[in-house]
Amino acid sequence: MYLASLDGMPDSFVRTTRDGAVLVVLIDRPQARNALNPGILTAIAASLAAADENPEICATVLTGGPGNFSAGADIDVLSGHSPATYLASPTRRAFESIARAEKPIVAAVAGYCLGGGCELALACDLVVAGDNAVFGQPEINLGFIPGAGGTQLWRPRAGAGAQADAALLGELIDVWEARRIGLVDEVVPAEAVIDAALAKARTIAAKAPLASRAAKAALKSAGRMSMQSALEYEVTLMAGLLATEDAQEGTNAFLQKRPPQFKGR
Amino acid sequence: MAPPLSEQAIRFTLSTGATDAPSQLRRLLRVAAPPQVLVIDGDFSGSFADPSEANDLISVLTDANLPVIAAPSGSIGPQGAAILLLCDQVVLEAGAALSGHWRDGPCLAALAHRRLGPLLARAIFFDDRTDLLDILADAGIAKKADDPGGSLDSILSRLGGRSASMAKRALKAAAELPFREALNYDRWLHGRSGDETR
Repeated sequence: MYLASLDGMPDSFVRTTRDGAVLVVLIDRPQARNALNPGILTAIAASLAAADENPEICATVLTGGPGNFSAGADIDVLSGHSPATYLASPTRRAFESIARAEKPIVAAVAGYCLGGGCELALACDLVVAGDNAVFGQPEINLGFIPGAGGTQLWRPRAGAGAQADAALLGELIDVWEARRIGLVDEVVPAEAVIDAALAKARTIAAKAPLASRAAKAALKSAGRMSMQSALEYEVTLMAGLLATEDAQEGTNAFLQKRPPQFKGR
Repeated sequence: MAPPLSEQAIRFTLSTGATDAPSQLRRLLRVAAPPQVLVIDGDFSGSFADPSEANDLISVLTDANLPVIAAPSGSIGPQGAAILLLCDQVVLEAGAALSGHWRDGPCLAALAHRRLGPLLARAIFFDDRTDLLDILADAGIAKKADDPGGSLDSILSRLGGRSASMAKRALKAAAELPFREALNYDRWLHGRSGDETR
């Protein structure tokens, strides 16, 4: 079990461990249902940035463990902000850093995945959910709106109706509905959610690292540029990969009917 | 006074006029854990106070990860019929019968369609000669017993293990997920990875 060997400062609420080429990042604040504060978000962002710089890491699992992913942001942190301070806050910067991560991230979500926690999960590339998971953007019930993607990140996965439901009604949906509308990619027993996400991350990590990174960049471009620009960007990325050793190795391995040995070059 | 149940059973007794059954059940289930079994007994003759109460009750029982057994006393009304359509097993005392207006409750058509399929759902709603209790008995969900207490004990001894709770979760996943994902869910439930490369 991976939670037993995690590293991290005792009071940091974020711990990390390695499983081969996969980094596991655990939000570990169970007494507060993994509520997010600036320290937690900054630590997650730093872990993902370090993973991007580490050639030995090819994918990441982000989880809150089998209990709760995150019930959202600390309310007192949000209420302490003015308009000016929020725009410059570590919370906002951290969310932006997480969204900019270059290597694939699999979210392993169980229990409450609300507010900022839901935004964090939806910023990942794949979402594996435990059968006790509950999703929602309840910010509207507190008199404000999601501020880290909660009015945008549901739409590409679940469509405009689900996005509007989440942002305007603030209601929670269970994991089965989340799966039906496409908000999550796989449902597994809650006690197996980290292992299932890890299995997916291992599969990703076994691919050519440069290709995985390029695929993520191409996928992310969908929301950042027009379709035509995204298609042109895809061609550029593809052309760049053709010159890599990994592309040569992948082609040779296919022709020679053997598993490829990718080097990330 | 109902006889005591085995230690693994959690009992919830329905009473006429009580409108907070869903919240009471939710509280009970929050602290329950496999291999426990939920037994709902008492007076099943009541109606829902309003459609939202029906929604709440359906939501609570649909979400339950424990096997649920219904053991009604007396006639069975709209609320009781909904519970029968949500339970895993039903123990019926001799002479148990649905009340004349049982079809009038909210959500029963959807529940009957989900549990029995479109043909039987139409039969029980559009043909008074088709008896829901007979259908449930024929399907192996309900048992008509001269000794309901003995039958309940027998069912509890069968459903009290961890495997029944796991089956309940797997059945729910099978109803909600695409087939292959449901198979994968079941493999994870039994402690085996869905990833053959591990």
